[in-house]
Amino acid sequence: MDILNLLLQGVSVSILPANLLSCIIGVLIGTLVGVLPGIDTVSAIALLLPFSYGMDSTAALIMFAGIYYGSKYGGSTTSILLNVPGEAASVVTCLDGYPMGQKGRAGAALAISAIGSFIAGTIGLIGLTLLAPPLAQAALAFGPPEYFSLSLVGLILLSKLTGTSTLKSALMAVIGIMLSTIGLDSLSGISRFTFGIDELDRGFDLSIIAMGLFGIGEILTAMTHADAKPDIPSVKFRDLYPTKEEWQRSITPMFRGGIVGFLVGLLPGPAATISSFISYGLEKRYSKHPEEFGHGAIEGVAGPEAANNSAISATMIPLLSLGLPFCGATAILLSGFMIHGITPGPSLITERPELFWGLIASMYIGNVLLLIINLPLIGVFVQLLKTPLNFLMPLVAVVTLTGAYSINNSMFDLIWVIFFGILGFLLQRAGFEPSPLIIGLVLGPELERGLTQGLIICNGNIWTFITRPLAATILSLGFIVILYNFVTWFTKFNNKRKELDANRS
Amino acid sequence: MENKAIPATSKYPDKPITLIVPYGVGGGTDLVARLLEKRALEYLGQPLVIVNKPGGAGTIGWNEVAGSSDGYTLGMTGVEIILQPLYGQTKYHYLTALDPLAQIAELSIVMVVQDTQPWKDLDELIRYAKKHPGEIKFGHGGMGTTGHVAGEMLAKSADIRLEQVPFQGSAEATASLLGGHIQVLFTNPASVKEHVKNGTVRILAVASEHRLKDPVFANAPTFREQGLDVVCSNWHVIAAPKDLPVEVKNKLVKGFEAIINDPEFQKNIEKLGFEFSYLGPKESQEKWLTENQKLSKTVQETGILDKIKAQKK
Amino acid sequence: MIEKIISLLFLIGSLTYLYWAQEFTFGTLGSPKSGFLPNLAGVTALLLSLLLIFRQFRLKKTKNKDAVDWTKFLFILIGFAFYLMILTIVGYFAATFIFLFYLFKVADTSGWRVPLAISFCGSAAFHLLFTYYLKVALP
Repeated sequence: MDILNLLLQGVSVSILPANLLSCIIGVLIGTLVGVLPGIDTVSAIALLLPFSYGMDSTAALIMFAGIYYGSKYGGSTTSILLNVPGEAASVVTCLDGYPMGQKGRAGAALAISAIGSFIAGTIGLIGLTLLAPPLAQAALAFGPPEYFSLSLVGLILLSKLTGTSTLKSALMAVIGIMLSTIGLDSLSGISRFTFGIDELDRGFDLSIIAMGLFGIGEILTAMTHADAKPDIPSVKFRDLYPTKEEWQRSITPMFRGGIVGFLVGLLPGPAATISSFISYGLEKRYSKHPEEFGHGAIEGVAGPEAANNSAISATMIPLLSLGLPFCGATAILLSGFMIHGITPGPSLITERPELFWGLIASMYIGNVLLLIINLPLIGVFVQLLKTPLNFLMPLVAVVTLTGAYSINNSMFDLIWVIFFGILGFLLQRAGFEPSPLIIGLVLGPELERGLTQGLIICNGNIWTFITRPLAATILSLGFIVILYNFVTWFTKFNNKRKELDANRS
Repeated sequence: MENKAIPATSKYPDKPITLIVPYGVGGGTDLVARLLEKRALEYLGQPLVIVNKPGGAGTIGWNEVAGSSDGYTLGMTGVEIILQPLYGQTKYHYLTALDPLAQIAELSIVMVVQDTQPWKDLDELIRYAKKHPGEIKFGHGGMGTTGHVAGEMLAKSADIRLEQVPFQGSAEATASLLGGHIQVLFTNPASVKEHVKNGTVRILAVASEHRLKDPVFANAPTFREQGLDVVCSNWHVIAAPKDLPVEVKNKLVKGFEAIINDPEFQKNIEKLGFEFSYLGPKESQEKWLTENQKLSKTVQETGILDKIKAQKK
Repeated sequence: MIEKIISLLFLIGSLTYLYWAQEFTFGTLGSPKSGFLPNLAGVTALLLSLLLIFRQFRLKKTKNKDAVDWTKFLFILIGFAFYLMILTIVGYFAATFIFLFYLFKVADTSGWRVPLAISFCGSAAFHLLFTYYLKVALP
């Protein structure tokens, strides 16, 4: 097969000592970046760009790509151990990963997360290898009305994600949307809800809110237990690895997550984050133990972690085939390309096949490396949990705050992290789930952009808007799912009522 | 102007110089700044420390530069320093609060359409637009940005009605063009270079004084050549707060002149997709003044100012 | 109890948001302006929080959560505020050192020397990590 040949050629390029070394360095840095809250992929690559001038282009790009997908492996570590998302894409892992850690299953969670990332990352790469050009074209067919429909349906379905009260989750989601409107709006050119405070123009950074709600919130909760400090279950060696049952429950989610992540990654927006949420929702829906979600369901870790890794492979498709970066990290990768005189686009495959295939081959190798690196580290990380809480929590607080500061070099951000930490703490006590807020925050801008741009494109004609073939399909599918949910809910409600009536008589 | 700390001019610079990039990490301006950072030690005698202060379309970063007085804080500027004060209240009037030290490069705007569209050149498009007012949608990177301004300038000077669709950045806008959701795009050449090369995108005009040097775009006529007064471009200029001691300023100017005119630096700038174009402090200052005059008129005439004001009641 | 307070807060929040959002033009369908989505979102939030409060007053059950040590909570907040204030004044290393030690004490760690030592090592480690390896400009 032609492609296989090319891929093998790529492998021969990627195992050249210089390239292999860059790959190793890249994935190591990536893991570190993922583990540390606050330092994100974009900053890391930007910082290293000037250093890469002297390097050979292929080696440099291999390193940058390594940082990119490496970070998605590391992000789950702090989520599981400390409820602090190392990256926005790892927020969902906190939901079930952290409870698992509390129950002493941290090792299992970390292992499943690493393996799921590997499997899905590889699936994504296979997709990338085989389908890059046609998929890129297909992705272009999605225009603003389609993005709006996706965001709307996504919001409605995903806000039912966690917790027991749909009403509360819905409210959190809308509040997330409202928060996302604060700041300078590029669609209209004016600042909204900023009251003349320049710093607010930037709007709320997703990471800041996530670190505050989840990280600082958890620290506050942990440190203010009025009762004696909870016993950290001592971790035995066999606890480091997943049980057979956990394995079995994780396999399908990993594959499902891999596919979902891949599809979502083709579209603009923070693909890894969105795909992790979607995967979580899917797993909850298909799980035989939905009530466990939020309390340590292994599927809730396997699926999302798989999804965010395969999303990475997918985001490379628009970048490499069309030269279009759909998210922050690919944008800086694009800059990395251009600095080395390479412009990705339709001609890249034909003009520089050794670069293209070398890069892809290095991604396969990198995934394997990451698996090899991460698995043994699990033992090390789990030891961290043995630290008495009262020493651990303050340290985590400082790391979180420092990381938050480093995102924008802004003291102002720190105030917000703490504010959201307090909010997260209060919300937890009041039974509100914080994750729908993150969904609202992430999808809000997509929603607004899709709506505004779409309406202009369709001349204000709503009918034209919703009868575009793709948009119509998405909206109808969404409508059907919502209807189905409503009917099931109603039937349950009715049955309960009948039960109560029957019991009374 | 009281209590300004005058830097010791003879020893300047004796500690690292901060260069504020008022945009996020990895953006075009940021990368140019990092290119400067690489050679700063040689030519300026002290390392450059890049600090990103994104937000407010650049205003947050520029406020900090304008408000500093120690002579060790500089900033990267673009045409937004002129546009932002025009659109609304900014803390400083950047034109008078900042002093340009050197221009590094220019970014022009090109007008492109998909290959599959029937208009072979600008004239055909204009004729179509006259017959179907408001039907053609053009995309750009954000309200009030150079792409938007260029588009509106075209609409005014050709006397046609175009609908503008704002996007957040050129990548999204380009994707929309390729997907056929918008018909026309005003953006920077780097975003569409590959597609023009490939033939999927056709370039109708360039909004600059002269044709572009890059071979891919060399055949594209400027708007001026076609009889339309549409010239709009962005640029990268290193600026310092006003009223630096003359000696300090001269040292900086000389240092930057050397860095920027270094052939390797030029090559790297062009690789990023910008057109290298060095201007010294005096020329930059003049350019700022002329651009300000021109743009103040343009944003009013084309109605952009009204549109932006209309967003608030 | 706290549920009702939070819901009420959200209600007030949505009202305030809507009030501020009136400053922005709503626009038309063919040309939506900056006030479009905010108004829609604000109204939705308002309705939802009303529904929520309504429901909460009808059902009376409250979940039993672990008791919270509100004094500690207050102390931690004061610590945070203090940390933010002195961060720019004394610099990262010193501020973090003090803050860590303070938090250790609030978290009931015993003794003086161990917390002091860990605060020192911690601040040093973080400082090194962020400043030198990651080139982040810390205060």
